[in-house]
Amino acid sequence: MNIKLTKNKLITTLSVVLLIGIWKLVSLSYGSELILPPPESTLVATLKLFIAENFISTVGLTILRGLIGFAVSFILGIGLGILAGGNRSFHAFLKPILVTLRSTPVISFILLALIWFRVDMVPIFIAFLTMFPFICTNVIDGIKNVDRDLVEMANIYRVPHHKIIQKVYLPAIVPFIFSGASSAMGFGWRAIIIGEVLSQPQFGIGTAMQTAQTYLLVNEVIAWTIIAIMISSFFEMLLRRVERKIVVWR
Amino acid sequence: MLKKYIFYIFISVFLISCNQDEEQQKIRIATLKGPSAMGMVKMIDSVRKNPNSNIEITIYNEPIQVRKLMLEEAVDLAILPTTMGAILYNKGVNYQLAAIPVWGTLYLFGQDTTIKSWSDLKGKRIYLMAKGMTPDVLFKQLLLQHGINPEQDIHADYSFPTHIDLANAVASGQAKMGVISEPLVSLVEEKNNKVKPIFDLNEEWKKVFPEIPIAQTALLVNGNFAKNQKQEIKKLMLQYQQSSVWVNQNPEKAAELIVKYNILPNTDVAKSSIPRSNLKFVKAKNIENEINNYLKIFYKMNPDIIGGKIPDKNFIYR
Amino acid sequence: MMNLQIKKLYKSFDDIILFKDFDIDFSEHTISCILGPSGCGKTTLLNMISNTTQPDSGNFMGFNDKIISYIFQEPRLLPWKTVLENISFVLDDSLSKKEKDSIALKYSQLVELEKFNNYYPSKLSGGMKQRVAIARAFSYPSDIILMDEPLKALDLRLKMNLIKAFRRLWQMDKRTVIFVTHDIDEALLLGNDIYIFSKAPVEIKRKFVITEKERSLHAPSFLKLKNEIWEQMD
Repeated sequence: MNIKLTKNKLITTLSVVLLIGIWKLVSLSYGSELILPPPESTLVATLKLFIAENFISTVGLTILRGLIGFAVSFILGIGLGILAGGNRSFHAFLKPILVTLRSTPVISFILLALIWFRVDMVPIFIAFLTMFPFICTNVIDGIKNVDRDLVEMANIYRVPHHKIIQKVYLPAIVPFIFSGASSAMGFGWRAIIIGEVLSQPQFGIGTAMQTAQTYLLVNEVIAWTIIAIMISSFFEMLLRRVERKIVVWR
Repeated sequence: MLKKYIFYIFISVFLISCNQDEEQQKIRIATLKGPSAMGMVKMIDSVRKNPNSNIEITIYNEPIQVRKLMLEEAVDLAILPTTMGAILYNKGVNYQLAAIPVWGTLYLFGQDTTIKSWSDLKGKRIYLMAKGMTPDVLFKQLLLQHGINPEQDIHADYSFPTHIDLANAVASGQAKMGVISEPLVSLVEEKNNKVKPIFDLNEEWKKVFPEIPIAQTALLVNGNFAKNQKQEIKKLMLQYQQSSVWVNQNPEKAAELIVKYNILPNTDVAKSSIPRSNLKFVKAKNIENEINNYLKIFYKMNPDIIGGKIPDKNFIYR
Repeated sequence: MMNLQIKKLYKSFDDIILFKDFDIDFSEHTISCILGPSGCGKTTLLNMISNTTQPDSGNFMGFNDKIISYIFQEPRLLPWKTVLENISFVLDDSLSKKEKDSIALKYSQLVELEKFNNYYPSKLSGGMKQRVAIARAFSYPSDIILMDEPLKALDLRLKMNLIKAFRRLWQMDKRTVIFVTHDIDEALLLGNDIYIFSKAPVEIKRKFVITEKERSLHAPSFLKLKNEIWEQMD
């Protein structure tokens, strides 16, 4: 077990090293900071960003937008998901909306949001529209997957209805909620940053990336990308931790 | 099977490179849909009318498209905001500043009639296009000169990322106030006569910086091309200069050409836009100080706007 | 002793007639075993008694106000609840948490699972899970316990263990048990009354009554009985 773990870590490290190696080679072959700056200068640019003047507001506001979008998606996704999971007609009503939302290109939302909303709301709105369908669909799937035998057992033992929902249905959909939340976050961060690039709120990673692009600071564009990846993986990790704390019965 | 593919690949590569060779003989000029193309319109007309011309002029919508071509050194002469020209030069992209053909065409425009002085702008939502581009930084510089902090005292809104989008939003009233440039100012006025200029930013600029004209738009020339084709450049610059003069003197005829080459949708707009576009072709080597002072203003604001430093002497094409 | 009676029961699924003018009596406070070929409708009978399936027609007498526990083929435990929590899950919420805990504790002891009180089902063996299900059925204050082949998936040794555990519980608290199986040994070890069902439509081929308290599969009387039952079941 331990040996396997270290072996996997070794392979992961190898893959990262290989990636950086290819990056270095490609940047050498272009030989231009304007097209692909080498990894070391990008690293310096990334570290510089951490101590830059508005770093906290830039990163903080992007995260805040993501969390607001996530919270709204989470609450509505679970609420509507439970309703749809328990009621066929409501599910029939909700299904086309979810399918439409999931198959609409993110850029369409953004372009429309730019017309409908104020700048600061655009990334949040986009975050909601990309995240909500994932969570809602997973909750519905979760309810469909609830073990009917357990519900029958609870009914025979005359367990009251509210207790069945609370103790049989809810725990059964928890793992589905987590997997929904995880994919929602993955797509959500990307969508938020695209939204920021186009709507240009005063602070935000997307705004900073766009500005860096305008000023041809290619290493800064990549540096912000690295920070965005770090944020995304941090929340992915956090979600996994919380899941392990809650889903203890596996 | 594989051999066949490789054969096709060779053929296509061969054809592409032939094609490029052929185009190499042509002089490629990239200009922007706006005052720069308007001033150039007579030149465009004579080039397009002459089937044997070795000049190819393309009109692009966005500066970023032109910048892309310059990064690839795929054009010999290009029109770009002067600040972006400085960034490219400072980053080692081989283009020099040959001339300034357009001198400040920006207006704060909108339906808000309550704005009488700069301090009335405090707390207002003002729409700007493309953060970091000339209209944005120039307007913010003016705010600073009037003691207004552009990050805190106003709401800068970049919801409409292209110039056309912003103009449409101002025309429809969706944006109460926006910084837009000619010829779109005339276009907006034509669409909605409730929309009025709040500040002529060129006049406001003159009040604050009487010695430093707005060297807004640059004609840039590729370094290699400049070295080998001095005569050719001289001819082209003269042609552009004459075209600008002709446009200013013959607005009626120029307006028709401007519509013909799809720079503006109708002649009325073109006619009202020409006198407001500050078309005046001046060679860079004659106004070196003015250009440097213009760039210095932005440098003090944020060095990144012009690529981190004041460009050295070589930036100016002589 | 008041008996539970089912009279004139009719039930069919699609084209298959399971019960047609079927009558049966169960004695209260007795373990009644139903032996019969698979697919004859034994489980359906339990489901009609527990009210999860409706008969086409028929009278159920004495069942009306009865409270029912059910031990299924599978343990049917909540995966996210521990042994104790699974037992107290079915207990009435008018009891305090403390009361529920002490009841659950008592029954987990009776099925010898007190060491595993805080284990989740995923950590328990099949036999242990079924013991939790038995504890749950007894902790619930029911009048009737229905059992639908709960020992089917277990090996012989575990089966014997569970039968012992069950008998011990039942000796202390003699509820009415209706136990469906197709395993003659289980019926002989557990049952007081043994009903032999025919193929569908069901008829009661024969009813055996066992009075002995001590059960051994090797005793001559039991071997003889077993043979008789074998003959009935053909």
